[in-house]
Amino acid sequence: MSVSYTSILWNKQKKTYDIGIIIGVLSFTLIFFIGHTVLHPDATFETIFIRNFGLLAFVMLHIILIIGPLARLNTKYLIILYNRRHFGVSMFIMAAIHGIFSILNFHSLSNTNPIKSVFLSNLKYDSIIQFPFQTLGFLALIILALMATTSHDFWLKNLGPKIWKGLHMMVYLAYALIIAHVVLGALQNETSPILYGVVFMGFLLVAGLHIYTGMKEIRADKPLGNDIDFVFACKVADIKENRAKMVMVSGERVAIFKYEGKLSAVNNFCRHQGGPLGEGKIVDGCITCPWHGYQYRPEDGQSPPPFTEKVETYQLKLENEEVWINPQPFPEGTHVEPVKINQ
Amino acid sequence: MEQEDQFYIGWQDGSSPKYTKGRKGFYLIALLVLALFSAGYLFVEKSFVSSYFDYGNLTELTGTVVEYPVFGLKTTIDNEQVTVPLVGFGKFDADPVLEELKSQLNGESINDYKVTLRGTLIQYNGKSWMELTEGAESIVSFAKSTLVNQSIASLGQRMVIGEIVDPKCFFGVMNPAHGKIHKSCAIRCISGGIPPLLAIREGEEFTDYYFLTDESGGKINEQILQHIGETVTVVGSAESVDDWKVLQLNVDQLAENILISYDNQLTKCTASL
Repeated sequence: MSVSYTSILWNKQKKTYDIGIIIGVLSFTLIFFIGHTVLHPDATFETIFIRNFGLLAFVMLHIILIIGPLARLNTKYLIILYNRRHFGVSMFIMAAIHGIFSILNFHSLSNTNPIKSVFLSNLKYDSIIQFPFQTLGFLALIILALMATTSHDFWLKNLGPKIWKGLHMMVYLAYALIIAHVVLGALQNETSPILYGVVFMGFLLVAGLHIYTGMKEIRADKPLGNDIDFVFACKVADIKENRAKMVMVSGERVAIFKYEGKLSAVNNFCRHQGGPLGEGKIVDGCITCPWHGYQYRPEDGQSPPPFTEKVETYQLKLENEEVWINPQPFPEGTHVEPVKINQ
Repeated sequence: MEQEDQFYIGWQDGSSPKYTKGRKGFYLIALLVLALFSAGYLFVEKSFVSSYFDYGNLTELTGTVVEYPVFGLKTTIDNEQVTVPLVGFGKFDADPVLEELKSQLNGESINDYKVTLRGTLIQYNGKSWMELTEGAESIVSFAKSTLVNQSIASLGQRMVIGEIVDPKCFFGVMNPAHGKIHKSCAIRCISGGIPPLLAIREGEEFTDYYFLTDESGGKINEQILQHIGETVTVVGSAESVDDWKVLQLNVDQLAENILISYDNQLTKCTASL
């Protein structure tokens, strides 16, 4: 398998993004440590350290998980989505500090290997209340570690977009494990109902936003039919210049672009991370994905060299001012002569 | 219309005002959320007990070694005669130090000697413990002395509700050091020989303690491992030994004698031993 990824340098936008993350982490940690020194002088350094990074990672994970639906609801948040992996790796570092330090603190300097101890000290796997919650956090940390180490485009290229995306969708499994880890662990030590309420509200926010955006997209996906013949897609006037209209044919989302007096249709699914090409724009003659700026030529669905990504193309025809589409796709990267408008 | 046509491309150096405004707004809200969680947590988390682990400082104590109910040093702290139980470094008991001491005495009774030991003090709620941090090097000196008797008195048969804790962490090495979040650590400590202690709670405070032993005063660490960190009701023969209490349990009937208690609803423990 060839490896021909091109890394994007640390441009101004990435630097601004990372500075924002560093300010957030430092502010949280400073408030947490100074606050404990003043309000809880009896708390030990280890406890403050473990709680700081655990809570910080937990809040960061919630923020990361709502970025996706927020960007679907309002495109101005695409700027946050673009470098989300920086946020994800930072969150993993916080979670790893929490996890590693907890294992050292609670399981090392004993008569058992610390990792074995996580799984074999508390054996009440058949009880909900006494369940060994640290195992759940450990498993979540393994998933987050896999995601963090494969977050670079090198791995996206080598694993392929489907496996890579599948691996990174495991963040939802990690989230479920972390919620259980917190509810069966840290919360059991606390008595304030506010903490239970906040965890529940956080879960509702993440789940609610995902369900809402999902429902919105399902409503927008009105299938046009699975006919082997052409089906009506939209009117020419419905498509803005250099933009696309998304339609659903044969169970696939297709983006019909209007540019330079022509129309072309490609599969909506960006081969990079599954971004919606139909919400992209023609920039320098290429369809540009709104998520990470991956580009495809509209007439053949191929990324311009040296890139090798390609998407399926579709046959269009124009009847008066109506755009019709053949639901049967051509193989990825097949050249289809664009339909000229105002012939 | 112009606003509508703005488009964000991350690999370009700049971005249009719509997106930079979006980023600014998001960052501001995220920063507020982080600050709110960090500060808010301080006001809702449970308060900490005032325990103490004199980490990094070694203290020398002189007294008489006792072996029942646990390896300890009968000594004087703040003009008060107390028994300071001794534990090892990490999650281990201090028995190797006791063995070393006995071997240095060449078979003479350990009770006939005044011993000076060096270690790290652990203190909470008027009770002191000491970690023999340096292992065998903790034995500073020993000299012949008059025998100091232990004061042992029977307290009769008792049913006591409490939590089995590992006393090394509980008295100050960690804070908090009880309940579910500390269960695994406590299991490791007690598995490593640190004597199990039943801590009795009154409201949010722990006010009384019983060492748990078998009927002959021997260790029952392995038998009670899976009950650690839980509120249990224990039935046994109680006695006071100087400034500590002991609850001697019938190991053969331990399953019947340890009853798990959730919200004061007693349920018989069916765990196999």
